[in-house]
Amino acid sequence: MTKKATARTNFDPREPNAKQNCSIMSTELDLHPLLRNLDPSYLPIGLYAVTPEGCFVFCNEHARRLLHLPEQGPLTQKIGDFYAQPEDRARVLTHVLQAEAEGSYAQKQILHFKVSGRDLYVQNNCRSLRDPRTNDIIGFTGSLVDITEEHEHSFVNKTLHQRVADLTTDIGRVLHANSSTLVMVHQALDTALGALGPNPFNHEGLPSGEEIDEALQRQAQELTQAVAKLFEATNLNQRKEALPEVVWEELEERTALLRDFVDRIPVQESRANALRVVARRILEICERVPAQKLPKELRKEVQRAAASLERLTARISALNARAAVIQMDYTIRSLREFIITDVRRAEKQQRVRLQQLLDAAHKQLTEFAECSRVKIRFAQTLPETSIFGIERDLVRALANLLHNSIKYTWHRDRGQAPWVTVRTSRQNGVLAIAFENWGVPISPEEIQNNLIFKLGYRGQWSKDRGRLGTGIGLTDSLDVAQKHGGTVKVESRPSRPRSSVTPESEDYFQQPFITIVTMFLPEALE
Amino acid sequence: MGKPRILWVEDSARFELANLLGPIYACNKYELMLAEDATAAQRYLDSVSFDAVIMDIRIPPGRDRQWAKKYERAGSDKASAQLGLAILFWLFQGNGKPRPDWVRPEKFAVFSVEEKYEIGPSLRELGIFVFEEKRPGLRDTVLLELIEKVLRNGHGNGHIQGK
Repeated sequence: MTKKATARTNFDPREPNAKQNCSIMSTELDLHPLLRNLDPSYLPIGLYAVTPEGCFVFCNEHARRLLHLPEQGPLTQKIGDFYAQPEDRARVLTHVLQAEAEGSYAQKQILHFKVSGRDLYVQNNCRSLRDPRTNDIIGFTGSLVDITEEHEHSFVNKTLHQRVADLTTDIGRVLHANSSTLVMVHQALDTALGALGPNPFNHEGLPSGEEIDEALQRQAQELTQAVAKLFEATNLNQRKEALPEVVWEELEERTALLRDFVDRIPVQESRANALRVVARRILEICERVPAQKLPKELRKEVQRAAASLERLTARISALNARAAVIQMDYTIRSLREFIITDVRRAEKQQRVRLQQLLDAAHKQLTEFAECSRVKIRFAQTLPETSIFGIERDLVRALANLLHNSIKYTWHRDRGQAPWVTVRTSRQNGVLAIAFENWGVPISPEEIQNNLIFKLGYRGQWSKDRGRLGTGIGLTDSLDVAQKHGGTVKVESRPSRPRSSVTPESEDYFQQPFITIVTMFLPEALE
Repeated sequence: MGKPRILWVEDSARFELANLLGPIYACNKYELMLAEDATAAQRYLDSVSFDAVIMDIRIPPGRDRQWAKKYERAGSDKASAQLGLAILFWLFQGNGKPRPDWVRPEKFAVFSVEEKYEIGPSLRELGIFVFEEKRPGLRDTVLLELIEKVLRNGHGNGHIQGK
């Protein structure tokens, strides 16, 4: 290169006069032969030129490789030979000519070729070549870029997208049907509870373990007393005539269990069902007694007491099932709403009063709160405050947080019903809606590492006492808050910190925690 | 000779599956112990001998770091972590300690939601052949029947005293 060319190796196209300098450079410099006689073969793209019939006139190295053509020399093949559907060439050329008639060029056409038996998808940019005097078409020229891999990925992605959309719609329908099934089950349980006679508990919610034990003890005592009366009123011979000795021994054993069931059955939740089995067995024994063999009234007393105990245990089982149905009902509805968010019709954002949102969320959870026997207290409400957003999503987000706080509340000492507190306030110009409950802990690591916001993740202690859940509620609420320009924060700490109990202690997480989950949202100002 | 000692490893024992315990307590024939997570299960299996062990596969880790790590590595998901299987492999195949005499495959059964084809190969590897899938419509005596089946297979004649 000449001296001028050397200086120009520091060429920087960002320099203000770079372009002008380029043109000066090309006329002045003694260019490298490769640059002066640039061979299209060097271009990293397939280039071709064909006659109107498609015979190759020019095909650079890249295009030859793509089409598995000889590396050098004249070509006898036609471009039409490579089309997977030969009739497609006519359609492609029509498109080329149409584009040119409109003043542009055919760009980024996707052509499906077959090369050595395999599918090849290329992106084709093409234009016609014309005789400048007659404007007759003398050929076509274009570029080819292999996009086979992207095309296949795109096809797979499209298929997957469609599948996800179909599945989402299907899942939405299935969950909707499940909700209907739960309604049916709920009603059936209500009917069964109605048929089981008067409610021995002084409320409609789920009885506590202590209440259940008390009720079971009353009924169990009646039954043991009835059996004892039968034994006292009969002698050994009378009893042997009525039933085999081994059955009477069994009856004594069963009665012993009734007397001491609290000590003998350490798992409180299974006592009702254990006593149901005992009551049913005693009824079966009574039914085996032949007529006239035992004092009729005493036998009937045993049967009445056994039937009462059986009904009580059935009631407890039905109440537990109903509580699970109520809990699952909200979970499924909320899950359905979350899943179909992307496929349902988009809704417009609008100004909504905060109180209206809280009322709607509260209404969705009234039955669940009543069944769980948790009161909801609204404190420090901000009247006439509004948020700009999608009401349906905001209600769901708030309901998720309220549902969690009810669900994870522990029952306190007898006589003091547990509660959840909902507080609204303004913090740094932003609305804060805080849900506070007393009960199940959340570990600091789960909060610091944002695990609790991970889709599907359930807190380490969230399964405490059989609480059901999907691990979606918090994720969904955070997502909704963020889409509305807000966020969600979580704090959880022991309700009564003791210096003797540290996070490393075995029982640190066995104590009740106060958990506050706060949703922050921008206020819609006038 | 005392009553046969049974261990049920199940995190839903006191809730969705509480009814299954009723027939067992009602018959008063067994000494039943309950482990609701992997930590509790390991502690029992390490210190007590049993005549029958009924194992759930999808259980939470509990407080022990070893199980918590396995759980986290599997995505903190009961279904993927399969800690029940992990405990069985730990017990049968390697925990650095000699296997206790009472630990024999015929004393174990699996009662879980997995279908047999999902965990069958692992159970075969362990030599455990008693398996019951949790599904709706099971009688509330299913656990009792499973225990009795294991005891028959293991010829349980009461626990080994004093481990």
